[in-house]
Amino acid sequence: MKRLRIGLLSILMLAAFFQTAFAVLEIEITSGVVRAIPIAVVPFNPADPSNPNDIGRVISNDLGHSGQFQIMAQNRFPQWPHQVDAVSGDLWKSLSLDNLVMGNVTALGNNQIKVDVSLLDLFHSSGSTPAILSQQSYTIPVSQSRALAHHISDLLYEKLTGEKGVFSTHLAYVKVDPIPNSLHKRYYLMISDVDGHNAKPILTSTQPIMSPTWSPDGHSVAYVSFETKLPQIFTSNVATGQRRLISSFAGINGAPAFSPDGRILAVALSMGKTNPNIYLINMGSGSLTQLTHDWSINTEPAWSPDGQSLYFTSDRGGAPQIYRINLSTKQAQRVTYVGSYNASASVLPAGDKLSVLHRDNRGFNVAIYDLQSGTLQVLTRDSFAESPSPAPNGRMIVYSTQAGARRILGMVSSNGQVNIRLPEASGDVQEPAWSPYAG
Amino acid sequence: MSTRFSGSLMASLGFHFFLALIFLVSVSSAVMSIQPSQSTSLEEHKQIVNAVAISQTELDHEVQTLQAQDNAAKALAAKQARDLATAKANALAAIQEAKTKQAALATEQAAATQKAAAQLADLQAAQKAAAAQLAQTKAQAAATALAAQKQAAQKQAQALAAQQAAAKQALMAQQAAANNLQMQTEVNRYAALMKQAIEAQWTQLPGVDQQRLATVMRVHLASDGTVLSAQNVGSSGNPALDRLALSAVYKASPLPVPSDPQALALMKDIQFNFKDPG
Repeated sequence: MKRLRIGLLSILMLAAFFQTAFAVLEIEITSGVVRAIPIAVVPFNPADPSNPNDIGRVISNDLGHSGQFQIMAQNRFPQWPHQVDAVSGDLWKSLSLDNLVMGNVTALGNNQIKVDVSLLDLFHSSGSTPAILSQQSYTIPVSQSRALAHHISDLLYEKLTGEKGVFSTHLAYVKVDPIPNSLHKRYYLMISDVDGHNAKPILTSTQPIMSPTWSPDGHSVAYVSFETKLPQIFTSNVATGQRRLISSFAGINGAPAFSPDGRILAVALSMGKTNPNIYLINMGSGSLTQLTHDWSINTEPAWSPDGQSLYFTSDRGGAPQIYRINLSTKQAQRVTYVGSYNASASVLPAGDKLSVLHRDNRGFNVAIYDLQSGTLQVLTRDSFAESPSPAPNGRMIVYSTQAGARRILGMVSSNGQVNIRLPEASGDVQEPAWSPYAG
Repeated sequence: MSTRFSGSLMASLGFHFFLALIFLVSVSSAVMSIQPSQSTSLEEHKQIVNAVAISQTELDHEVQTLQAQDNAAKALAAKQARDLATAKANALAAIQEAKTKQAALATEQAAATQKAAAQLADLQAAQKAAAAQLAQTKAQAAATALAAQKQAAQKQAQALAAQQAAAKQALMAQQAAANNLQMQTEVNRYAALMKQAIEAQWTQLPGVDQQRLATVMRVHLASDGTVLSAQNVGSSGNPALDRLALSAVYKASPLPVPSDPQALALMKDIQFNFKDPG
């Protein structure tokens, strides 16, 4: 019996020993480095540096502007491969590059081109052969090169970040050109690609156009036009240009905003008084509902993603701040308490943050207001920012800013790390609105 | 064997019964033949006593009668003698016959005895064989028992050896446990170094919320810390984030590894749990 006990004891001790010996060691990896993914886009073959529609170049710009990618400068390229089997994985890995994009463009005649693109993953294994994450082939008319490039950018972006890209979305904005030898100006309601290219007007006027905003389906834009010298709210179909007058009440008709289902337009109306209040216009019946009833300025309504409440700007507290009104209780409460000026709110897609125009001693800048923590992060250092409008994935915010004597469009990533400016050949560019995902 | 034995026994019994029957018949016939001669001599003695008190005539007559009688008696005696001789001859013949029969019987008895003796001998031989067999069986059993004993002894020896081995292993385990503490310190140190190396290579995308689920990477290392393979054994639900975790592991290769072979052995297969707690 005693012998047995000793035997058992030693077996138990052995078991304990082996358990410690063979349990797989686990290590918690908790804090990485917040940074963009290092990627190289090899100019597509044949590369054409003079062609602004060069597909590789458009993709490189798209990814670079997104804030999620760090584009490797071409002078650091160890090689210029156009085929997967020409890639020397070790050369690129030694540069700590995660991914490589390459492609070929083949002219097929008849203005048709064939585009082949490959996305490679370099650190997928211990070997030096890269893994192909995506490989696509397209045949398109050459005129669709930019559109295809944006489409490819969306594909790559989603593959590498897990989120939908916004490179095929559009911007609506107002462009103001001075009329030569005149004090008058010409106003354009413009629609462009998200990188500022392919800009074309859907409305031209000698009177101000203001506050464009997209319908949720992306088919039309609502805006304020002073074409009759008085403000009126219209919608225009982006594809056909067909217009519809929505609001033409006495006094201010401003700041339209579509509800998430597109059936209601929230607007700021003064109804002949000196100050505007927030109203809802039913797009089907035309019926009107007043939401705020006071003598302060109440404007710039912005819908929550669930359509249950509206954020708006009000100076009822003495200075402009963001308020929220619950649509079922009609009760409004103040939201922002940081700084003396917060206006032009938009709700980010997750519904937990607002993009706002924030003014402090550095001037007007784009900021993110966290609804849960009540904290505000200023993203830009422009001092003259206006009209922030977030992308449908919430990763970037487009706004207007000052460049010398002109106003241009800028974009900032919602973490503030990437800030770019979209060049415009002439005039002032203002009041940008980022479209929803292309329906 | 028993059937053969009982068969001959039955034959012998039958034969004896037959002999007994013969004897009985010959003895009774001998008694019957002797009785008449005895009664004749008794009658003659009686006639002499009766003749004492009789006359001359009567005597003559008596003599005549006696003579007649004597003649008759003589004839009778002759006849009796003849009869006796015949009876004697008969008796002799009978005796002779009985003797012959007896001799035959004796011969047969001798034969039967001989047969019985043979049978006995057979039986004894069989018994002897059986005894021999028994003896052999006994010997085998004894051998088996001996073997079993030997085996038991061997088993005991083995058990003892196993016990000693176990004790030795237990001692080794104790020593290992002692080493383990030292090794664990080494392992912990390198675990921290590995964590540092991988975190430096782990790209977290700006603004992309880390998933609540962790990306779990099972990593196999070479002796110099080179990542031989990394396998995603638990997904965050976002393939892009999983890929960034995989990249971090390969970018950090070779990972810092301990020189102590025991500690190294513990760290060659490692699991990294990528999870942003914030």
